[in-house]
Amino acid sequence: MTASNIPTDLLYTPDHEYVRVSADGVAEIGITDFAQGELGDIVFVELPAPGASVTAHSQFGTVEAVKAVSELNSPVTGVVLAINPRLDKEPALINSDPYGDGWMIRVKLANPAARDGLLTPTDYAAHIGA
Amino acid sequence: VTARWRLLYTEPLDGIDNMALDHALLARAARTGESVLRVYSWQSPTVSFGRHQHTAGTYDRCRLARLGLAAVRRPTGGRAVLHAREATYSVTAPIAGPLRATYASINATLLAALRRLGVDASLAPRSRAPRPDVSPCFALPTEGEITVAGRKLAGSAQCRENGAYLQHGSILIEDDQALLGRLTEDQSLTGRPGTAEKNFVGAVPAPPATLREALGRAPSVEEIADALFKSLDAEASPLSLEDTVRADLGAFRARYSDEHWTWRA
Repeated sequence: MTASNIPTDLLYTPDHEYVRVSADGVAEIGITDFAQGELGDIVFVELPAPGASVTAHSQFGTVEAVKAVSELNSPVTGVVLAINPRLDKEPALINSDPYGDGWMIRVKLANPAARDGLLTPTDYAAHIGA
Repeated sequence: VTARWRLLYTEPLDGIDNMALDHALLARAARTGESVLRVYSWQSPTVSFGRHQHTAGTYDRCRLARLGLAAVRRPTGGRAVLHAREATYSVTAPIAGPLRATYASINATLLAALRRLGVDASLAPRSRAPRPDVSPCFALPTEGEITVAGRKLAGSAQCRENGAYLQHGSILIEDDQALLGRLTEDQSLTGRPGTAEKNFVGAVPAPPATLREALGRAPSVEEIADALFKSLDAEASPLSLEDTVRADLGAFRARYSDEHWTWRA
């Protein structure tokens, strides 16, 4: 198994989602390189509609790999601004570029300072035994 | 660490109760860290849809009703299965590795059980993951699934939540799957003989393999359960359902009996 990529500028959940928080209080969310590697070929993603609310540590969608459905849990609380429009036709982007073209949703944070329950890159690396 | 395993055989239930019990056992695995191998069957013929399949507008509800078929949506991925003359298994356990490894480990148990029954089964070679479209589950063997002479005998699917997974699947005793081809609004989509399989245009899928054909007789679900329980490569003891599992069943029954859950577009 190849080592997982864990970018140092992101925060993580124990359930293998990442969050990229920008200065304008918008968070970009997806699943980690480790998660996509564990699941294999991703064939379908179900995401909330823009305008929907998401809550930290609660489900916001599902992803299907080889006939296996996994829940997606939000790292943060806020309102969905956008979903990645390419994932409907190209869910494999999550495998090929999880931190880039494979992003899932962008969320306007309810509280831009909130980081409850999120893991640093070092903590996440320890969590997956990397 | 060797996981603790429990064995559960349940009498035939309807689709709602079968899915609710599998989901309650998934919650139990997350809560207790114990693994359960359950073997079951269905009170009456029931179509189960994959978690992400479009059903409303795709499957003809009137036709299902006319044929006396019940319908339920699984929590797991994959495509439609007609549960009739089959043995169904479920494994609920803490997640201990990648998806491919979980499938491989459970398939090894299925393979050992089938060999114990006298079936010369093997595993399908590596292939592309199927999209959750309208093609029937048994039209296409997926990587690692159980086949006899290249035709699918057992189909399985999974879901993962809260650090645990549920994998369940069907081992066909007789072939009732052709009926699925008569349930869609657009008959050209389902890939039964005479139509084009959506993902493999021009190819007509072979009918699935069955235990009846492989053995020259139809074993009972009890006999298949016994072979599965004896083939588990771990210490195991029988499970009787605790009050917490029975309490969870109520909540999960509500989900699986919800028309909006089963019949969404």
